[in-house]
Amino acid sequence: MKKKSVFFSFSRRERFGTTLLIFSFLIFWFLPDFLPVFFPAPPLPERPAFQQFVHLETPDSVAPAPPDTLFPFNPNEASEDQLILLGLSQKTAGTIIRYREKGGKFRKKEDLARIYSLSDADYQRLEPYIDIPVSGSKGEKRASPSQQSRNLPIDVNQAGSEEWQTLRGIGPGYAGRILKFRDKLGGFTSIEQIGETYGLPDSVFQQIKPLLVLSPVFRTIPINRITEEELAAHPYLSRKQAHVILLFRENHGGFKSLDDLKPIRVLPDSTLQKLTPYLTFE
Amino acid sequence: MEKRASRQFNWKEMPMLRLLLPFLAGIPMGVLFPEVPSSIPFWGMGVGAIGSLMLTRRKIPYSLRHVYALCCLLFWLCAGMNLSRQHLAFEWADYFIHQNHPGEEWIGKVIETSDGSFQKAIVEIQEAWCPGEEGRRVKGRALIYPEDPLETGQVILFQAEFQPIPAKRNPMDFDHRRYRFFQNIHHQANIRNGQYQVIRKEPLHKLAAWRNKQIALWKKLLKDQAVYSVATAMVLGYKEDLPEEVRATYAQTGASHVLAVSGLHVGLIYLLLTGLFRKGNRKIVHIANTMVCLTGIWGFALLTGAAPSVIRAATMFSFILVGKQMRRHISIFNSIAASAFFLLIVNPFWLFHIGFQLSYLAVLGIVIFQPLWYHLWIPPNAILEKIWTLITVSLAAQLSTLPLTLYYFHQFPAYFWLSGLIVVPAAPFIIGLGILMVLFQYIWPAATWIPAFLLNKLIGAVNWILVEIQHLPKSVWQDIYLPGASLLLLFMGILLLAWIWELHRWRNLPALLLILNAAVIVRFHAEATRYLREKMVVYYASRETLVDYINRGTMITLKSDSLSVGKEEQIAGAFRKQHRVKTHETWYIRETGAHVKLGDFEGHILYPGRPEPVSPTGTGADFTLLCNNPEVSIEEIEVRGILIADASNWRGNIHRWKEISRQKGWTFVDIREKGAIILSARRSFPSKLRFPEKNSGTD
Repeated sequence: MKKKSVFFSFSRRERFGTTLLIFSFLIFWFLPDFLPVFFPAPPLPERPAFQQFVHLETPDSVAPAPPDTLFPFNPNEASEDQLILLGLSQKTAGTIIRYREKGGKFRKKEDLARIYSLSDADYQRLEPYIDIPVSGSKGEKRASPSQQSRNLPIDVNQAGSEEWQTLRGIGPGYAGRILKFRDKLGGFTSIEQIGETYGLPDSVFQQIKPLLVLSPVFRTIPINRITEEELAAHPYLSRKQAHVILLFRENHGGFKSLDDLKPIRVLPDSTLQKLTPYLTFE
Repeated sequence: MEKRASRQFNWKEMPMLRLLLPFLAGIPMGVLFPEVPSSIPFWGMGVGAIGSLMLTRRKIPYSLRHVYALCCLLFWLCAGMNLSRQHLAFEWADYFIHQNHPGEEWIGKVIETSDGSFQKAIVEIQEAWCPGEEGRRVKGRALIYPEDPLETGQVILFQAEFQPIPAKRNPMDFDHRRYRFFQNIHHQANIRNGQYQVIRKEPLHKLAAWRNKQIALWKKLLKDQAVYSVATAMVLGYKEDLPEEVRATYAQTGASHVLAVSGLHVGLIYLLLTGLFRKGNRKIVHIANTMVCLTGIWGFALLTGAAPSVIRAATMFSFILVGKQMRRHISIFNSIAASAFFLLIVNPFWLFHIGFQLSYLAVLGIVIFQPLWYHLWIPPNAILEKIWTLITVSLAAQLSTLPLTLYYFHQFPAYFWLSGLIVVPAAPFIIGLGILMVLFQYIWPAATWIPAFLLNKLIGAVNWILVEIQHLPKSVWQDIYLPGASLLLLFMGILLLAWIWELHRWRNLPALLLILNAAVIVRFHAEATRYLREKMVVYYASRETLVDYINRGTMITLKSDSLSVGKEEQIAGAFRKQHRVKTHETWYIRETGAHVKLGDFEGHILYPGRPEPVSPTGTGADFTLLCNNPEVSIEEIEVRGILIADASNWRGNIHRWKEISRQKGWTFVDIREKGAIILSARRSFPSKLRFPEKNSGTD
């Protein structure tokens, strides 16, 4: 047909131009993906280390020059004036007072270091003068006095709330959650589990990891004797899973080993792996 | 080589289109330039009207022949401006916001509700009650966030402090404010449980209630969610229950237009109906034909519960039908333009709705290209002929809507042609079965299960095929960011293609390639500048800090500890993808020193517990970032560069810092108020730093 022949009859010059345009289109379409090749990425900048800066004294500087007055003091009771006399800025003293007013307590010297506006230098200077009377036996049930020092690693299955709080980044809130989690689990079977605590930021966990040490679990799951309620209360199992496991147990008799649990469909392998250290088959 | 005169593109036959274009241009102008006093467009209309009137009767001197056209152009341009200006709620004397005093009480009717992560509702405000005064009648719609769900139709008395809907906070965010702007909703408020009471409940419009009943019934009849959600979307225009995976499947295969009851559907019905009455040359047959089609279209519209998109499509097709009925040779473009005129006079803001845009693009594409492609093949029998018609319709609609969907959704479904072959032929059957299901309920209830069963099988099959297509290799090309200029060029290319094909001027094909090249080069330019430019973004992250430094695909993120990965992805994910970030390092602010040097950017980050970075020369040359309420007296620091307070700070502190900065003449950036900020450096240009570039803008 006439129109078809017109369509296909490009002169040689036209063909060249058309082909060129087609290739040009394709090139420019894919070119952005090649930008990294022609303009490679520069090396990443260095992360500046913490506290790189020098505190310079200016006449109006907020922190006054540390005076010579140093005396023993109890941070739980010292007045604001006393704190200022010790060389702390008004702001820092105010922070300590407010912390106390809100119910905060300094149980050990190190607690004072955790006040944000207290510089390390100030803390080092004051540390020998901190005088905190030893508290009564109001500690947590599982606190073991021999681990009060910060340098010893923390036994994840025995440590009490105060010991958890000696770790940098763990305060009363996180300590409470870790303990609750531990209670429900019956004990940690791996250090990584602590990282699973609800709301615990990964950065904090990485920081405390080296200071943690495992010990045996204090409550196992006797899979052949446990009730459905108890099973469902475990953090790794849902009610439905607990129900199915119980049904399975009734129909197939007791579980003799881990393999007996594998056929249960609602129990994915990952969950089973996490549960394995807790299971006993008597 | 023969030169063909175009059958369709004859300006002489399209008076409506010639007038529509200035009208279309006027509408956005009325909204974009609110400062222009309204008297100007009124005068413009006046001049245009009088001028064209004067030139109608007399014989016009040859040199003035264009003046008439210019007068008309001026008139319609100003008419568009006026119309959109008047439509804007701010212009109304009785717009409720003008009565927004503290303690004001309102009476309004709930029009729409939706659940989601939080409750939302749209109320039509009817009365305003100032304490101690008489109530006043007002108008306008507002967005409210109640604690417990409300129901449509409820009339409530409530107390609320309305705030303007905030601008988008982070780059690449969905622009909620703009979306609501073109629904004429500009303000929002939170409503606590004690702050409102339900006065009465107005019954829903019968049609809306009936539609809700149908939706619930269909849920029961077609049990599978993936099936009934598609059915309700396609036939009843109800898309709320569409699961995310189904939406994604249809979007990634290029079939999502079928889920919106739009021009395509009504068009299909129109085609089917016109196909039924071919015979007969007598006028009475034609009129009967038209009447049947009109009844069919509006019957379908009412049957599906009269969703706005259906009404628009039905209006469009009514115009086309009536136009054809009145004069056989009237250009279809004229009718389409007339329908657009009509709809825009009703609500000029529809011009900005994506549904409206896609509807008209689809129809124009069909009308322009389908006849051209249809003639490429002569099917041997009637059934194949129907199928071929549907295939050409589908391809034509997809071609014309492709640039816009590419622009909005940043993805290109490579197998759109394949999915079109599946869904478009299936659509009439799905709609037909849906209609049967409705009719059977009233005629033969016992047999309602028959169309339900068939519908189940059909939609199930379609869904399955689409999922298979979705999983084909390279089925979606993602992360395509089209600049506005490229979009325009693509549309110009499509028009050029139509012109070439229509007139058989194949010699001009290289011009088309030239335009495509231009579009692609513009895109490359945008991508290249985006890639090569160093940037620092301080995001809006409530109660957290998130800062990205991006340079040529590498990124350093400074963030606060407690920012969860999910939130970070939601805030910054799209922006990072757009910048093709490949390597990535995260610095936690608590462990990072106060003085940071990121490429060309040098600055300080002030964070609680940090000794103040008092260096002899003051703080960082480019920026000083305040995070998480640092206990810093900034009056005592010499701030060079700009001072940024992100959303992790308390408002009280930000307010204080802003005041101090004002006194000291520093540039202060309040992220809480203004949203994210992007600083950019230009390496290839001598000027070192240009900031702040835009507030939460994209490139």
